[in-house]
Amino acid sequence: MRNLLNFLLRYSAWMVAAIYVVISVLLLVSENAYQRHAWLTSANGVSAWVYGGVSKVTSYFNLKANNEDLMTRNALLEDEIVQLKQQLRDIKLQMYGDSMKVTPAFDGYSYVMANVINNSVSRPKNYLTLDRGSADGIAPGMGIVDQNGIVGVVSVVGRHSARAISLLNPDFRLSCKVKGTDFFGSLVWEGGDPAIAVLEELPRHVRLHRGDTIVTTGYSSVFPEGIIVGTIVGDHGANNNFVAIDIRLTTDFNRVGMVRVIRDANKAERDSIEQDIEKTE
Amino acid sequence: MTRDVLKYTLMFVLMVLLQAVIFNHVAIFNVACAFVFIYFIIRMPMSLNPIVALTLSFFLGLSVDIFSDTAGMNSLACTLLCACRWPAFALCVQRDDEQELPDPSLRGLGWGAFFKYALALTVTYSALICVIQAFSFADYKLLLVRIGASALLTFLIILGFASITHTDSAKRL
Repeated sequence: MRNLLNFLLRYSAWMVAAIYVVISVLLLVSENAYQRHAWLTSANGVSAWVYGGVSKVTSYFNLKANNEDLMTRNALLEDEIVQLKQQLRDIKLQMYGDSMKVTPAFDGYSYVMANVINNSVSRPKNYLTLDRGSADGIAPGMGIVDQNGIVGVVSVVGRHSARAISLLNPDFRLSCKVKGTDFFGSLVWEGGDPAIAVLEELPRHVRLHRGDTIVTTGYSSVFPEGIIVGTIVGDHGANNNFVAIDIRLTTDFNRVGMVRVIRDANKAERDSIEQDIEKTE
Repeated sequence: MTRDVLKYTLMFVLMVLLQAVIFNHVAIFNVACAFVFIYFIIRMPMSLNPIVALTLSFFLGLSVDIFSDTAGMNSLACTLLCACRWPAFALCVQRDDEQELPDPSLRGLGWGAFFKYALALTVTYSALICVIQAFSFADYKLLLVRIGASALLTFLIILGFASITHTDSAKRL
């Protein structure tokens, strides 16, 4: 016993070394055992605190590279967004074309779907730009409608784009009538509120009521008959023979997006006949 | 005595932090790593009780292990290194038996002896840790390169430390 104690005392340092070696080896080989002790990994509070403080400083060193990465990534994402938007628009165009309610008024007319890519409502004379042009079968003089009503008429056509005169432009006069009657007048926008236009040259004897619907006459080949334009909201004034009334337009010009451009298959024929009549007169 | 305890405690903490924060991220050509914290083991007084020295070494290794998620590796290597201190010291330092054990520092040993002593321990540690990390001698060429490169890098940095503290002490004197 005494010998054992002496032995232990004499070689105590070696014993301690052996114990530490055994502990280390145990830690080394039993991966699972040490993973149970979070404090033996860098996940413990002290090292997390140290590393947190260090990264507060060192993170600045990578800012430039990080920025570049982010910019690159950003550019990629922006590209993707543009592409997705384009796809979305194409799909919408298809769906919209398939599902949009076609009024009987459109019989005999065909149409081209288009997106409004530029629009104004606040200028004295407003114009629209469409993303379809002569390549898509658009020609000057074609009418433009959206799901709510009249939008404008095409004036200048490029290969893949077209400029249109908005209904909100005093140069554009539209022949309209009170729905259910045959009394017609001329609709014009006089500036100001983009929701209100004036229907002029109505005969005095017509009985009109607030809320009556105003539709196109179909006297020109630009728009078919019966497309809704707006509703009567009030008097605008009168002279000897005619009255003028304020019309609230059904088209929301602030939100014109997808439109259809109306093609009249018989336009050429009709125009030439009307010109012949004018000549003979 | 108290001053020494404070000094070595500070050195312990400083070495672990330096290793965790800076030198763990150093890997030149992916072979040369710096195990700078063993400077503490090199500098522990030779007169220190072996059990205390072994304990300190073990916990030094364990601390570094905790920071670098290498449970057991550095603690094993540090314990073994600590055991190698006395033979290395005896081999490198010529002394008379009556003399008090000199401090294993640049000032206590002088350039020549300290150079040999530190180099011996550094090479020993590099060999230990690299073998433990690799856990095999299969790719012995790469292992040798790693041991050599790591030992050289560690030794250079440790010499730097030693000379800094050396001039500091000289000024104070």
